[in-house]
Amino acid sequence: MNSTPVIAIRDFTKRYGSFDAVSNLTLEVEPGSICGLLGPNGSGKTTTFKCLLGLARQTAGSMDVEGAPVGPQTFENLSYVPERSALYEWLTLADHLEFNRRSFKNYDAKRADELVSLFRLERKKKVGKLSKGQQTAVALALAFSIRPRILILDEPASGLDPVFQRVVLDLIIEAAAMGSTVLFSSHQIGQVERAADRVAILKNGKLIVDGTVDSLKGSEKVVEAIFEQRVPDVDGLADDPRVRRIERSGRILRAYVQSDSEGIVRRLNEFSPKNISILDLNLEDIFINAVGGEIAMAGGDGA
Amino acid sequence: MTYVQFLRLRKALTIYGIVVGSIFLFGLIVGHWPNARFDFGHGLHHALTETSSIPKSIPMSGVLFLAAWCAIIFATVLSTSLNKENDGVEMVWTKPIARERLAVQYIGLDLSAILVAFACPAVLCIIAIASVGGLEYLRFDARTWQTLIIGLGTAFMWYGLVQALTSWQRGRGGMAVGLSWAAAFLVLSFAEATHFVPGPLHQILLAADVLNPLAYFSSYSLSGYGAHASPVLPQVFAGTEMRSILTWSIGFLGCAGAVGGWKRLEV
Repeated sequence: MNSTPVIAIRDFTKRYGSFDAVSNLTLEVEPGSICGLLGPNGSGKTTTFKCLLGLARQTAGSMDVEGAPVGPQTFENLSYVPERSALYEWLTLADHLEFNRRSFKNYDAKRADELVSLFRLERKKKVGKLSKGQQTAVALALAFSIRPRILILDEPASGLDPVFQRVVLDLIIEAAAMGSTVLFSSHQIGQVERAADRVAILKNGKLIVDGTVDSLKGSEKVVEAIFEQRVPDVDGLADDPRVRRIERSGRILRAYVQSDSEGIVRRLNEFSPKNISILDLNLEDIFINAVGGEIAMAGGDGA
Repeated sequence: MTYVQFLRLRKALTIYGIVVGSIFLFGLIVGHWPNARFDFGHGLHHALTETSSIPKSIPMSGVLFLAAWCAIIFATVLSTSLNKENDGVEMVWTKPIARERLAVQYIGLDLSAILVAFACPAVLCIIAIASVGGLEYLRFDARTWQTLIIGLGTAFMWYGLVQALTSWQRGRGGMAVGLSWAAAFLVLSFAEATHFVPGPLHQILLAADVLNPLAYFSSYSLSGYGAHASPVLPQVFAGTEMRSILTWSIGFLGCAGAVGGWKRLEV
């Protein structure tokens, strides 16, 4: 595999007045890989995409695509699906496809037909008459119809039903398998977990987690204990250096353990739980730990 | 890359053609009622010659004056074409073409459409004149070319100014067009009202009129021939050549500013 990153963001900062929308973000996406960019609303995902594509100017840092800042020629092989529809509501899907055909050398009419069928879209209907999900599908059909080398997708499954969300995920995975590089954001963490090789999590404009999905999932274990009555006071467990965080929810206690999970199990067994188990972290746990830990703790304290 | 703008212009020209054609037909019928008949070959000709309503000299500058007004109105309608893209500008800015090049192509297409909008009523007028046998009385003179150049220059100037004001904004294009008409008429009216407006303020209004497209074209009326000084422009700009140069130059500068503003827009 070529080690030169297709997307290279280095020390990127975007400031609006005195507000840092994104600060000192460094992120690289390798060829043929899928990188999921996660973060709560307002964390800087869309700003990052816009600056990367030249739709907004960065305050500091560099952003390269295929080794150079984005220029007109970059878009010959790059497709972008914005979070908010940028389609012409007064035009039909057929008009949009014709626009793509005239704009891109590598427009693939056969592929476009396949995508229109796949999303069950009507060619002659004006885009303004379509639902939000159908508009997303139109944007995706346009994006994939040029068989791009690079895909940047901001909430690509937004408004789609679960069946089409799966279709989108399959398209992303298929594109990467064919050599495309994908950078996408989503609030559907399950989708990101299924598709992405690598995950970056932003919070308040700062990169707080960055790594491969497997390495992140292997970094911690969850010890989950279920008690007959309320969760007992587990003195000092929160201060245990092996435990990164404790979460209480009703009769359930979850300890996020960085090492020696067996030792934590033994310690919790002293409180006679009804059931206790060691679970692997999933991406949702990683995300909540990274951005929403305080909220979960506060909300789950009552028994 | 300009496919969408082409579709937009096709739609605008179709509506324009229907409106201009309808007004023209309506005017033709009403103007010559009750003698007019829908027999343009003989009936109308016969009726009008009977009533001696054909002037013996029809200045082509009058036809172009009318056509220029239509083109000016149409130009202001098109003058927000870059602004219109800004709501979903991700669509065009992620195509393999430089923004300034795309903007220039948009402006080029718009100007072609303005030319069509100018030609359409002019041709309709000539057809109408021909239909009543008046083609031989159509008179071309120096004023014809002045009207052509300044009329189109005024349309271009207005187009360029509104483009420059709106290309770097999201939305509010329609409002800018409306305000430009209101401002043009107001400044022109006050600049003409020399008796009511105090001297220094009048000088300011005269200066403001340099950027008022109407000030360049209002002095062209159906009556009177030859270039004459405009009362609403500083004396230095009153000559026909100077006015021609100014309208086209301001239009050009406006378009250049619009391209620069659009290129620098952030979404």
